Amino acid sequence: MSPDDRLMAFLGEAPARHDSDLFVAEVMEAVERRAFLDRLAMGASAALAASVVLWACSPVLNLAVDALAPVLFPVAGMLVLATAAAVLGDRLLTQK
Amino acid sequence: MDGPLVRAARGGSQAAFARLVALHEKPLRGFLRKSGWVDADDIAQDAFVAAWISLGRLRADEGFRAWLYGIAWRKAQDQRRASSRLARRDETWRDQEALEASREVGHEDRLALQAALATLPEDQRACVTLCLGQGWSHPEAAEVLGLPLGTVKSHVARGRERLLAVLGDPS
Repeated sequence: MSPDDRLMAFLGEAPARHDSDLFVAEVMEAVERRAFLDRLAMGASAALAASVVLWACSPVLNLAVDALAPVLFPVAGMLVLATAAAVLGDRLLTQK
Repeated sequence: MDGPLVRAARGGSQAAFARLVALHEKPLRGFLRKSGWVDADDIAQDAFVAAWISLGRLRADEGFRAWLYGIAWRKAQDQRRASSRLARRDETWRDQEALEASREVGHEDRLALQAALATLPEDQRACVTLCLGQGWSHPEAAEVLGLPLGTVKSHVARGRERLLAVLGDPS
């Protein structure tokens, strides 16, 4: 091996293979953490924006709820009864 | 070569980015270590994460390697300015390095080369490692390191001369 070859071999050395796998795993963990934080931040921003919009619209929404509540009350009652019947029926069937 | 993987990673594929990391981590870490950065692995990891975050800003997909090395080089310099992280993994690396070196370069040569490399200025060490160790062209190295082409050429020539001198080659 000439001095040039030895020099290039020395300068071109890279980490060992097993070390590489660990390194890739660490990088991808950091990337995943970062992606998760980004998604969290985006979700939080969306929730904040939605809450601001709802807060701004609250007078109108209150009026709408007041107007709709009497109409929806019987429907809500029927839905509760139907759900209760379904749950009880399911339990009875499971016991048998 | 990197183009399809870069495009997939930009589209959000972490598997494609993991492949890019696997392709480039060894030479990048080797470059940073040979260039004398104590926190080479931390710098490389930060560079990969930064690359993932700013992948959308990469103009030419095929230029991923140079772009990544540029990020790593700037991070290394920032790190030096801030200086201070602990070299946790470095001790492990030194052991591995010694084992690997025994296969290719004699122990005495290696010690002499390490000592000589440590005496080179930072930029010169980086130029020598990239151009002689990893086969980069002078223009590529100049772009990544943010140095004029002529400076890179002279760094490589002088660095090579000084390193060969410790191997007993006067050329």
